[in-house]
Amino acid sequence: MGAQARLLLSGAPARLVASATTLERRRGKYLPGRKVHVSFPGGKVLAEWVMGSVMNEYVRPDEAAESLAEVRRRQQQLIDAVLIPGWYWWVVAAAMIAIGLAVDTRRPVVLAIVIPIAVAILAALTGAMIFGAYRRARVRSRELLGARGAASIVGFVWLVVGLTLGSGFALRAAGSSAPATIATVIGGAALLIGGPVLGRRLRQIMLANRAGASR
Amino acid sequence: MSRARFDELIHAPTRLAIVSLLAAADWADFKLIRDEVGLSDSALSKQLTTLEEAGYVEIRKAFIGKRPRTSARLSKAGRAAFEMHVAALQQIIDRSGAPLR
Repeated sequence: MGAQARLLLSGAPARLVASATTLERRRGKYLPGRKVHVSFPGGKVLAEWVMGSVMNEYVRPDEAAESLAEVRRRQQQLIDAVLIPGWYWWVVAAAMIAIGLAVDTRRPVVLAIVIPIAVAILAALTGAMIFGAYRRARVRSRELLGARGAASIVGFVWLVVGLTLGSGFALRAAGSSAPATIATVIGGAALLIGGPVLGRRLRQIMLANRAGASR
Repeated sequence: MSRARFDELIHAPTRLAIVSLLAAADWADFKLIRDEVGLSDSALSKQLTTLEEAGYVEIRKAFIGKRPRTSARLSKAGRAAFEMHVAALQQIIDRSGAPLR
């Protein structure tokens, strides 16, 4: 093998070299010299890999910037494909308000009908949304969301629950005739306003933590 | 920042799009990659095979009911190569002093 070719191959991933060695031994092709082989399982793969060692000298800065923009765009695409859709917050808010209305009727029959239906709808939609997203792509949530993302989600849930329950108890103590309804309307509004804000924040966090992002 | 190494195999536009998508995922469904990148089944298959031959991608085939489902992910080597490629691109820009778009 020529000195130049050996130089180019010197940085080859060990796995590639090892697989080439095994394959070539099976085919009985050896270079005059001994252990090193130049042919890889996919000739095209080798050719492109070898070219890579020298190609960066010919990539213009604007082309590199274009490529980095493409990397960012594609990663955004995947993150957007698995983020919580806008309609979800409307469904959760509507289910909450339905439960609030049912509670304020103080009729056990209404509660027995509305609560299970609302909970079933929520569970089915949440399950379908999560399973659907999971089937399409499993994002690297631990790496992408990190502690900040997890804290944002937990914080948002506590904010909505706290706001709903807190306002409900406060309204009841103040003698309101429909404390549950008003409290769930407040909680629903928090969901509709805060849900998309949470989505944007999670998107930002994931983009900042994506592979290859400048840190 | 990762060590920089320009990777011509990844740099090809279609493969850069595929690898970038996969870099954000643990696994991605074949259909999702096809639709997001805008390729035909055969074109995507060909590119994934090239990446698989290089050891950059792992392909998983499973059945959900009777339907076959193919998904792909970056291997450890593929993820490292991608990060080094991005670092190399960044290096090219940094050396020139041009702003990142």
